[in-house]
Amino acid sequence: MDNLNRLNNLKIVHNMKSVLQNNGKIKSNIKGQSLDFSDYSQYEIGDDFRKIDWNIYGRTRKLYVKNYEAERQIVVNIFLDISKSMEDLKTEKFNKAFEIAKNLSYIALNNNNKVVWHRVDNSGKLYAYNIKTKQMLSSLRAENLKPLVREKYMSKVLNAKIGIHQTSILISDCYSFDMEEVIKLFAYRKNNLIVLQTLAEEEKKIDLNGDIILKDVETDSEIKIEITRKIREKYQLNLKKHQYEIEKKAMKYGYRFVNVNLEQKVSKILFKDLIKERILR
Amino acid sequence: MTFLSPIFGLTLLAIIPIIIIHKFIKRYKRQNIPNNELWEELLNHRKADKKIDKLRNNIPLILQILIIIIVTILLIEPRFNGKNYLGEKVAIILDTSYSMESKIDDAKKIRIAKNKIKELLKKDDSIFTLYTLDKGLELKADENLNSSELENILDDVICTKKSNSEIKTIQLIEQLALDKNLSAIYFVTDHNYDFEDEKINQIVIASQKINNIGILDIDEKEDDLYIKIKNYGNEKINFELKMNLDGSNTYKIWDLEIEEKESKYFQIKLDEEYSYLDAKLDYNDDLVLDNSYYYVKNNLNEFKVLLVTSGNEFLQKALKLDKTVDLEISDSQNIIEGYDLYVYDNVLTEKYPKNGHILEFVKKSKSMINAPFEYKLGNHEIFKYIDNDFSIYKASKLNLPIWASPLITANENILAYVGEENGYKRLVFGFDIFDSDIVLKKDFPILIINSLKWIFDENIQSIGRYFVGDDVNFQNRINNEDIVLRDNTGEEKDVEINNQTVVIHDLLEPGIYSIEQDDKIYYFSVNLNSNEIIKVDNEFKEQRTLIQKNNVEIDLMKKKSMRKVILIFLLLILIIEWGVYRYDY
Repeated sequence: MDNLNRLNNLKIVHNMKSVLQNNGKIKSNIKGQSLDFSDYSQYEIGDDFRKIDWNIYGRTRKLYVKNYEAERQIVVNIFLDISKSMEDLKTEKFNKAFEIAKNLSYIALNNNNKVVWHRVDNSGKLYAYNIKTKQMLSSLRAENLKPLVREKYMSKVLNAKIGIHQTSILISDCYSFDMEEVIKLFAYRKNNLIVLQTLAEEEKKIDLNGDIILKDVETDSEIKIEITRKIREKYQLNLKKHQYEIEKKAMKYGYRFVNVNLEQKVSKILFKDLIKERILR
Repeated sequence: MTFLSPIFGLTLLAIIPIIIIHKFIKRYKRQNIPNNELWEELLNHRKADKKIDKLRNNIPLILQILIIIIVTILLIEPRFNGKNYLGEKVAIILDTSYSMESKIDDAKKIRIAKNKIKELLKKDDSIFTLYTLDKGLELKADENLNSSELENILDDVICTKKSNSEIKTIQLIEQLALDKNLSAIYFVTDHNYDFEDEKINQIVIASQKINNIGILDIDEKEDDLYIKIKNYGNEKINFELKMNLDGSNTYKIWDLEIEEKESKYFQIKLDEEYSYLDAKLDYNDDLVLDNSYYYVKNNLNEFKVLLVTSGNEFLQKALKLDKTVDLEISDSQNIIEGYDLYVYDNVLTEKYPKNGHILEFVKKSKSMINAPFEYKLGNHEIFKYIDNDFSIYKASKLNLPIWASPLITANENILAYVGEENGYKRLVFGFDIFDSDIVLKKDFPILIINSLKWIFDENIQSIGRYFVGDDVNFQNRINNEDIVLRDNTGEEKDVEINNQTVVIHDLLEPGIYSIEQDDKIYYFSVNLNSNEIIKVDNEFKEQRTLIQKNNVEIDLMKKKSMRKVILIFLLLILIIEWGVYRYDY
């Protein structure tokens, strides 16, 4: 089975109770206008009288309204971190993150989900970019999203307009300390949040030695530091702690946090890692 | 606390470049990273133990500064004040041989040496002992004296005219160095010795400018006098040679010249008879002592010996081996008197002379003993160095006179005897030398020489030339009591008479000495030891490469120290530092 076929068979696992007005293939437990009968409820003023079940009225002399299960269209928000920290290093960090986002969007579109990419305009503001068709999706290029911005992407995410009961996929290196606020925002909007952390291998395993000035590519701030083996070890511990903190907060709201291994091919990430992590099925 | 070499304190300046290397020329690499918030957080956390971290990060710097401080301390050699603190025992040996009398820029070497020792006493707070060295080592000040007392003793030390050979000097000092209590020996001298023991430090006082001539030796051959003179300097020298014969007040004078660095025999014909002379070089140089030399004419007495034989070549040759023998040969039985010794070789005589010693080989007598028989040599000095392996085929049985004692016996038969009759010695062998194979062995000339030695005895006449510091020994058989020794000034000196040996200890001054006995006067000369002269000679040759700008002194400090150990220790520190550094990064 080739990759495309495999991709066509994949679905995003929406661990949520979201509902939208538009029909989609995913069934929701919120009442709607599909043909499948769900249950009855007592007639109230304003209800569509066409839904009154006259048979029951004949038997009971009470007015009941038939309820039907709604077929809802899920909105999938793609938040791809486009700050400078995502720059391609030895490992193609941004390109791979972009590929993952694109593939997840494809899967969503394939399943009649609504896909919205939250992009940054020239003024640095976040705006929603609806991807209605696969054609629109395929026209997206990583280059179009560049140059990467110096501002912290997460502070922008905090201002994002997100509907309730949606699925949001955040692809970022997650260095930001605003992550807790971000998670809280998605929780407040009752979203299903999936955090995919994309760290290059060289970020996980530091290979620096001696006296070094570390320059933050986003803020240009510098740190003079003498990196020794112990310092390296401490840093790595710190990084793990940071990851754990994010994961812990994510789990608090039932969200999933996945540290993506960018050393692998994107296909492997999708077909193996994300399935294993129950992001896809 | 004092420092032996404070100049090395400058080594501390080496700390500056190290600090510069560590701090100011610290090269940072620039590295772009996606985000440094985590690093900042890490640094914030580390602030808590920043002081310890600072210390830890500066370990290489601290260690290197420590190393420099240790090296500096090592070099400046700090000493605590107070004699008993360190308890190091140091021996100072001052060379007091006569060459130390020579001058360097109008200052005597001994004076410079004393000043050098005083400097040493001030700098070093060890416990000192002071020795002087000329012919032997003499302890002048032991460890109980304080430095001012030691300086007083040092001031009183004077040069002697004694000296020693280089080998003996090295032996003496290295023997002293065996004393484990001694931590160091400082030998202040004017010669560069090659010591093996690292405990021995030399302070050599020598000069580049040399202005010295000296007499090395005087010898006489066929009435001509040969005087060996050496010019140690770098310039040709014209000088006067003055000679005084037999202590008269008149001098014979020769104008001579000698090239630089030349050693030369000057041949001089003296027409006059003399017993002794003193020669002087009239020249103003750095060392006056070696300008004089004393010489005693070869005054060995000759003994008139008459050999009565019908032609015995072996006996003739053996007798002539003794240079004191003036040999005459006769085949006549009519003896003319007036010889010191009469040697009868197989000659029958009825009347022996009464004014001389007699040595006789008898061939025939009434009763003979024929081989094979075993003989036995008596215990007598004439058999010294003689092996008992010669054979006698035929010998006369001798009658032993009452004044004689047996010399060779065979079964109670006497084959030879010795004795003294009326003050003259008689030695009689009862066989012809041709009736024995001794004549063909090396023992024969030894036997004859031994016989002559016993007959004439070794006496005063054989003494002649001595060096300052020597002991004089000679045999005195004639009259123990009547010996008078006069020194070079004519003053009567004590002599020690031990059995038949006369001993004169420690001749301290060069000159002509005399011994008077039985109205006879015997002379002997005492000179500076030529070894010392040669030593000075060598020294100048060897020192030339050593002496640099300073013409006063050269320090050859070979002090054995802990430096090697400490340097190894420092190396270890550096290795550990490197290891720690590698582990950390």
